[in-house]
Amino acid sequence: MKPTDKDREIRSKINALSDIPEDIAWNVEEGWRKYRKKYKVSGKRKLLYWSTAAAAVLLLVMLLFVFPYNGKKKLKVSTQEEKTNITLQDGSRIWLNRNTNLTVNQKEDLIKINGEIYAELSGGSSYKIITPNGDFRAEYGHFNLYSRKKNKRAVITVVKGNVEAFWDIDKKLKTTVTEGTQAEVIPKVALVQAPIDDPNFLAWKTGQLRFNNTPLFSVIKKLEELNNIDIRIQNENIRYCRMNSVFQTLSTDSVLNKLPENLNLHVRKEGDTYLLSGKGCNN
Amino acid sequence: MENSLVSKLKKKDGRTQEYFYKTYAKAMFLLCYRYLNDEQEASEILNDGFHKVFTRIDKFQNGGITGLKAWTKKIMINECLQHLRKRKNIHFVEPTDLPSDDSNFMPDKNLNAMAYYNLISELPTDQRTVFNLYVIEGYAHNEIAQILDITENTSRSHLMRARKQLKEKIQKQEYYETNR
Repeated sequence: MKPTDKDREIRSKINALSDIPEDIAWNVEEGWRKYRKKYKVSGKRKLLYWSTAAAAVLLLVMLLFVFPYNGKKKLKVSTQEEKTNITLQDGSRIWLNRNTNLTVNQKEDLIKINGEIYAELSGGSSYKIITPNGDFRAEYGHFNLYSRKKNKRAVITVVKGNVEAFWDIDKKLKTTVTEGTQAEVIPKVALVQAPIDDPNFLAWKTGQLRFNNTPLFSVIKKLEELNNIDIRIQNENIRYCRMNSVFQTLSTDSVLNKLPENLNLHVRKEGDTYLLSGKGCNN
Repeated sequence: MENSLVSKLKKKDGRTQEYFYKTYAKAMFLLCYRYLNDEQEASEILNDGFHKVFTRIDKFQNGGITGLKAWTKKIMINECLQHLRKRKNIHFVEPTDLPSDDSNFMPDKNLNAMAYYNLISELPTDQRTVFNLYVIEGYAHNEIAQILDITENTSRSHLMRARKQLKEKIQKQEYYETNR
């Protein structure tokens, strides 16, 4: 019995298949998140990483002495547990999330960030935006930009206008991120653009979470990201229970305590970890 | 670029691992699901497979991206088969009533890739495993017999049964192509 023409046709079609069946909730991002959690992926050797971090801090301290604050040309803002916002000379506004460092050189239209911002650029200047994991250029646009050195990637989500994204602004390779799309920059590896897939990307600023037929594992991922906590699902049957709710809070306790009303779930806390269990759901 | 990718993987660079995972995870998930027909299990076996790729990358002989993808695919198939054995879902017994040798399907020009994929995923485990190994992966019966620790006759029997089941489903016109 040798393979037939029909066998070859089926093999060719199956190998060319690129879509996941509609009834499957798995996606690449979720898969990678689980992989990282299980196998604790790190990008650099710890010694090199901490050496680089220490050098960056030393350089920052030196710069503060060498280049004192100039109210007109240079603006430096750092947040820790609080959020804040600033207005630039041309009317552009920038909101800073917690644990964000931002420097604006208004003479050179240069913005440097390490953290997360939401910017509404007025179009008065063409800004060069330098981050630890990618560089950007924008003149008019509203966008969210996430780039923390420790996470080794930058994500820009454009709500209005266009933003150019580069691995390195001194090199030519770039992509233009347009309204309604997002781009992820993994330095020296990839620059990936896609439609916006997280409706709550601006939750840190609006204080609102909106879940529309959202599977529980996505809800959990968002809460972990916003609040830097650990939530574990103890019963795999509940991972795909769907949520339909709007919350005017980002508080993990508030969102999770509301869950049992909507779904057949139980929430308890062990130390700093939230544990979710339940029989499953009817939806 | 290819050699750079392989050499970075050999240095266990996390960013490159992430890039490799995100590039090939979808195709490998489709492969795992085709063998396991269970989303949870496919997701777990997929990650176990990638972990094996990343931790044993030093054993990969230089062959560029194409070779690396094929090597990854082999690892995923082995992981799926091991899991099926643990699940005790594979019981290969020589069937007593063999269907007639009918390798030909009815004309089914309207079936697209997703339709075939769903049909294959729904086969009973033993038939699905042999069908996947023979038709999709291109193994010969003697190779399948060695992989699954069965006889060549058993492998042929399960393939015939799989084809018969698929033919019956197609004849019932349960599947049709919606987009071409």
